[in-house]
Amino acid sequence: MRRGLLILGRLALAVVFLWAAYAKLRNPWMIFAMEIDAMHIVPDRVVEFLARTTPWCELLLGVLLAVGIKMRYVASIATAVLAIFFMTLLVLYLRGFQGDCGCFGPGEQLGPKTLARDGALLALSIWVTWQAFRRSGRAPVDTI
Amino acid sequence: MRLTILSLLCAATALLAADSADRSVGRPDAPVTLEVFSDFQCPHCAKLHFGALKQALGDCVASGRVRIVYRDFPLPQHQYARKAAQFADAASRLGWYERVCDALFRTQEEWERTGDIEGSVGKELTPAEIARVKKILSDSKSLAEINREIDADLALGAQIPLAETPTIIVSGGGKRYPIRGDIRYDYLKQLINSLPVK
Repeated sequence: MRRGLLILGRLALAVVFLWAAYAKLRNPWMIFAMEIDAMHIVPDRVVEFLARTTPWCELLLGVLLAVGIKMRYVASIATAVLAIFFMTLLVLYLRGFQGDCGCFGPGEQLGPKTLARDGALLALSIWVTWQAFRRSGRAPVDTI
Repeated sequence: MRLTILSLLCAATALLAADSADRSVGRPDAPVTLEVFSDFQCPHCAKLHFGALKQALGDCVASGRVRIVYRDFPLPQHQYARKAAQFADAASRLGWYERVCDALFRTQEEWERTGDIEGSVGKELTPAEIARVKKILSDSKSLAEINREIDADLALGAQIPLAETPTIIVSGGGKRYPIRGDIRYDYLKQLINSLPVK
């Protein structure tokens, strides 16, 4: 039962990362760059780098989560990435930022719904990571 | 020679002249269109107006690649936004849309406190010009037409759907991208240049 839930959780995270990557990659990178730039959280020279690389990192994470190998590392990285996203959005929200969150392409204004969804995803990722560490203690290979 | 200079001047004027009927600037057949939904009482709209849009006017609009279409999107929480839009739209009938937009955004902080749009904008227009704009606004038929135009822009924005100002809809080469907020021209220009010219 728990193993089934774990696979479901891992696949749910994989779908979220793959969808986030697809939603960004189907548009020119400048769209995401403008969303990041509007947040005023990173220096100008970093904006383009982030806009060009983040979607590909999300794609890679999505694929690795779907495949399910080296889960301790992959789930830890996914949790770290989601934690960074969540904390950034939380700080922006508290500062009164009203622009796009940039999560799944253009058009989603940052609000309580965004934070609730990202918070739930972070909680799921933490649980998957914790289970990956627990199970890898017993299993001969690092998979779930 | 004189004729050539005259025709060049006419072409340049036609290229940059604001179209009083639809509040647009640039060549009507430009491959890329920027539809700018803004609210005269919104501070981010003012920043966008004097930032990325002014740069676009001097660069890709002047070169004929881009046409800018201005749309009114007065937000309900902004008490004087519709009144300001009415004033600008009345001015557009006299070919002064860009000038009045500049004046409205420049004096935004002043008239949003007092509600005295004419008084604030009056510092940037002559009394005779103000009188001509007021004459249009005092004519019930013209005012009704202006209000219909504002409502049409609001309905268009609601269809997108648009929740905030400023929002620019960049379209060209069969693609359409909504961009929100006070954006930097560097990225907007790169996006414009990435769009295929049909």
